Amino acid sequence: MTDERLEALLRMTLGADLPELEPTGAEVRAVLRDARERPARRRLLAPSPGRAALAPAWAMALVLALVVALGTVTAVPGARAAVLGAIDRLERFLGGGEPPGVPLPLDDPVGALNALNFLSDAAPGSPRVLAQAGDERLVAFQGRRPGEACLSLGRHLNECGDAAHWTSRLEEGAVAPLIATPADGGRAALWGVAQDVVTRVELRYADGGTVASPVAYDGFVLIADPDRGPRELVARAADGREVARADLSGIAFSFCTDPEGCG
Amino acid sequence: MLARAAHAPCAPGLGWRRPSAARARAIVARAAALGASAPLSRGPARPLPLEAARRGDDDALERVAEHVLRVALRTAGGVLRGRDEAGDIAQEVAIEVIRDLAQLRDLERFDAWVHRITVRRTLRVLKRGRARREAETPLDLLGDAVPPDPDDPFEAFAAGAAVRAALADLPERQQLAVVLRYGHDLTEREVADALGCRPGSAAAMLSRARTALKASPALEAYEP
Repeated sequence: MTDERLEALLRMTLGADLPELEPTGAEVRAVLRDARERPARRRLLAPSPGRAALAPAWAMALVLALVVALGTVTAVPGARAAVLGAIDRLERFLGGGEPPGVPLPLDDPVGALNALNFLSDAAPGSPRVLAQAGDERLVAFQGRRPGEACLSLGRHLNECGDAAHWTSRLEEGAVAPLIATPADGGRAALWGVAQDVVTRVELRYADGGTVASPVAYDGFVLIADPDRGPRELVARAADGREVARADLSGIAFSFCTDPEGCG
Repeated sequence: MLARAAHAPCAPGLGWRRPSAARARAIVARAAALGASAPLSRGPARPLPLEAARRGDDDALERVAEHVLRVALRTAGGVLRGRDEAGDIAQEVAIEVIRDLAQLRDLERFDAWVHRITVRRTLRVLKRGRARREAETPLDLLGDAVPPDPDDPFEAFAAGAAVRAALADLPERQQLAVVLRYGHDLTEREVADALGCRPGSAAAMLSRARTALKASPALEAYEP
């Protein structure tokens, strides 16, 4: 069979307007009903082209609120600079410059997981690894919009925003836990960023145990056991002193990973 | 050629045959009975009212849902076993799209986004093996052994089943690449976008798929 004949056959069959592959009115109604009735759960979707940062709903609302407030923020550059100044190496990145960290090895399988997540969004050459744990990597990159700084949280989601967005995310302390996502073996990956004074973060469980991670480039990803009740995050400086503490009660450590939903 | 059509194996013990006229009529009747309501008419191509759908306009949402269902049904229906399984995937894709439409930054890439969601969900089902598409000739497509007639309006049914049988032997991503390329007439770059790979990888994938399909016994009957 020639290529031409095969292609003609494929177009005739796969591209045919078969009645059985037409959506029915009942299906359309079911979709609209379910889309309205199902609560917007925290969905960990695979990457999709042109998709905005797949942040949780509250973060998206925060971004919208900050867009409205952006004029106010830019009108007081002194205050903005003070906040951004507190995060040192991230300042240049969050202000539109190159991110810190080490270049992402796009050719290796782990890097590809991140690459899939932001392939359509990253400025060429900008991705840098801020932290990694196992196969999970926290990658910073410049977004397509001017001044947009993005964090890619492993294979799961991106969070992008302008300086105002990140200022609000980081202004509550020297350490900022962002979100938790499913990790291998039923564990959870806690993602976050920190000021450069922080060299180590410790996650404390409700049972008193801890799990720790070094902070090399102002970011961290901690693999935790969700069943032990992650309670708080402690940030320490190089000399061991505690410089910040963050409550983890607002971070969800249980996930719906069933594509059919979890009711 | 008649003998080849009658005996070309697409599965052990089964011949690959074009349906008789009577059987073809039965196929049409079965297709019509598949849905509780009649299929929607496609109508003239119009730009999708995505902005209005984002604002929650009911008519716009309905049009978007219908479009997404049609796109996803074509993709999933090309590689899955039956209409019900493809319909389930299409509905999940459409629900996801409707709910997340407000988060889509670039509306120009709406279809690419839909394709990518569809690919992800279809691959998941394929790999779970819960809904393998036809690896055997569907019994209701068996009929008299006659050569394919390109002018026969029912030919697409038999040829479609033969193509799906041939696709069954390909790796899942190759199957989807073929459906996206020839079912949706996407470019190789668009196929790559939907599959999340480089254009060169998609081109190589399609080339391997074509080579395998040309050698497939299921398609021998369609050789000149």
